[in-house]
Amino acid sequence: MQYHKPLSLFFICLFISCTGVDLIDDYVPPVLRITTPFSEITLGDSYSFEASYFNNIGEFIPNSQFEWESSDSEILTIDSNGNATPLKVGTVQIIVRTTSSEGSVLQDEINITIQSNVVLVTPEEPMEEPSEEELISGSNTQTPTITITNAITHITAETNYQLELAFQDAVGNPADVPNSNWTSSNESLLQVDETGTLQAIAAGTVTLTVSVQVSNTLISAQSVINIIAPAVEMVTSFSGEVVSKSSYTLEGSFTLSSGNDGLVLSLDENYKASTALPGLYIYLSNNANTTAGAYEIGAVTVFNGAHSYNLPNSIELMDYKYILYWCKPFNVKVGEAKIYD
Amino acid sequence: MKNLLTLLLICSSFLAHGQWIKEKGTGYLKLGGWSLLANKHFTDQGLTDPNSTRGLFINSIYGEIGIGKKINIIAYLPFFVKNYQYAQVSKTTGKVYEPRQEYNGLGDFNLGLEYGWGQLKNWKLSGSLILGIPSGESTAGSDGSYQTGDGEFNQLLQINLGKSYRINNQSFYLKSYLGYNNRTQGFSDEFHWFGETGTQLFNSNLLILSRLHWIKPLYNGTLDASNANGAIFANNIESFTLGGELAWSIGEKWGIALGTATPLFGKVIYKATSFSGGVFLIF
Repeated sequence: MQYHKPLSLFFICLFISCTGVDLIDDYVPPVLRITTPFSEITLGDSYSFEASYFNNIGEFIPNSQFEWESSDSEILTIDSNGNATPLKVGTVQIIVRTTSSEGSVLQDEINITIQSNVVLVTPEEPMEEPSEEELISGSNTQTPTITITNAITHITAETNYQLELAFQDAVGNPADVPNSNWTSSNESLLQVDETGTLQAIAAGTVTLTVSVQVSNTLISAQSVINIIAPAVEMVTSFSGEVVSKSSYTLEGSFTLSSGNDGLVLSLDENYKASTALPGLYIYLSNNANTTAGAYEIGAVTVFNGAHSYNLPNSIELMDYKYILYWCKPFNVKVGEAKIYD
Repeated sequence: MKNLLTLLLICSSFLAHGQWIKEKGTGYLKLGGWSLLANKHFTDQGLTDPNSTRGLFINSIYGEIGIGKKINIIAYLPFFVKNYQYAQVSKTTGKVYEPRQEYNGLGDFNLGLEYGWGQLKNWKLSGSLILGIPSGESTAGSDGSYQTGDGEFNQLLQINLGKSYRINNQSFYLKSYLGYNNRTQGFSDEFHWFGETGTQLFNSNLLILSRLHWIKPLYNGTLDASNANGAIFANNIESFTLGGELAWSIGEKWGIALGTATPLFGKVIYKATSFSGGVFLIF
């Protein structure tokens, strides 16, 4: 029949539309992020800082090379692996840099406050000088003394501290410290080595004794030290708002917080999501434009009111920047929440 | 999701194309193809949102055959339904996130009867009962969303009206129906209104027609995302669709038809224009 050709052509045209691709506009600026959420650390310990590099589609790139820097090396030093040692009390900025795959230098920084890990003994009132009469009538022979010159009343657990000694001989003159012997009344709480370096282990109260043998006399000094719990302050939760990025209803407040057994994502009582959309899933992602590379928490089964999701231990607080709500089968972005800036 | 409604729209357009009640032993058959490609949809708020590009391609047979003086049987048989999605590719890196997917299968068949009640003034009056047979797949493809049917048995009861009229010596026809679609499996029932008018040109060799079809859900279903247990569904769908068709008689008993339809507004349906074509036979 003479019309079979155009008719065939028509059906072929209908089929042609069956092939094609959707280009997902998934570009995001590459970012470098310090993922160790310290905000306050203490002297006497070292800290390991970590960073993650996410490329231009929000994909985590493992084994990236970083350069670490301290804004004030007198307050804190940091090596090329991100191991930081606080040296004195103060505020310092930790900076990390890397070069992106596009050649640009990326940088992130955080401000860290360094607290002292010890409380020094309050200096006592100076003793009255002996009167001239006393000096004349008295004997000029004294018992040798040993003194801890930087004694402390408190130390933070998991930190260390170096004690210093002063020695006065039998005529009251400063002299070299003889071999000293340090002991702790409870080594499970506080350990001390032969040089007087303290290693605070756990909270409690310990009596520290230092003694020296001078001729036939054993001279000693004691100090009661309270060991307090570590004072490192870390960010442990983020809160924000879930907002709709579509025409579908989605709203509510969220909190992402550290729980006893991993992170917990909690949606508050004001949470509400449309039930008109099938296949609604929730994700954690570093790219708000796609769920590729995202962690799929699971299908949404609660559409109103408070509920929560327990996340696996492998996910850290700062691993992901966005919470995404996505209609999975039809690849429709429904809404998002920014976990942190 | 929205694919299901598009199936309904196809049915309505095919079902509407028949003329008056056929004499016994006469009829109308159409072998057709229908295609829709959509990268956006009407949401439950009636607004437009994007989606990954999805398509439907359907080959079907539609027929109306007179089996009695006043009774026609009606059948719509989508014997090949292709439900597909474009590959999802990163614009930034070219990485393929999801390869192209498709599912091919049978669609939901529609079988029905139309009974001619006679004349009401100058209107032809008839009634129809069309049964939606869930012969398609309601869960298909990698994630269940490549359906070729809705998985429910529905019954569409229609009152059909038709008349002829003239404008400037040109004859036209007008057809309309009101329908109530009783749906099962938790889907909301639907109200249907349909209107079609057309005329013949070039010595009656060319039929040109336009049609409107309104589907309004009654929101009395229970199916939603909170109780679907992961099933992909499209409940409470609404559409108001404008369509048109050209039917060209080539031989004495056969011809070809080309059509198109587009939703003017809707809820939970694709926002895209569909195209169709086919060969019809009148006997």
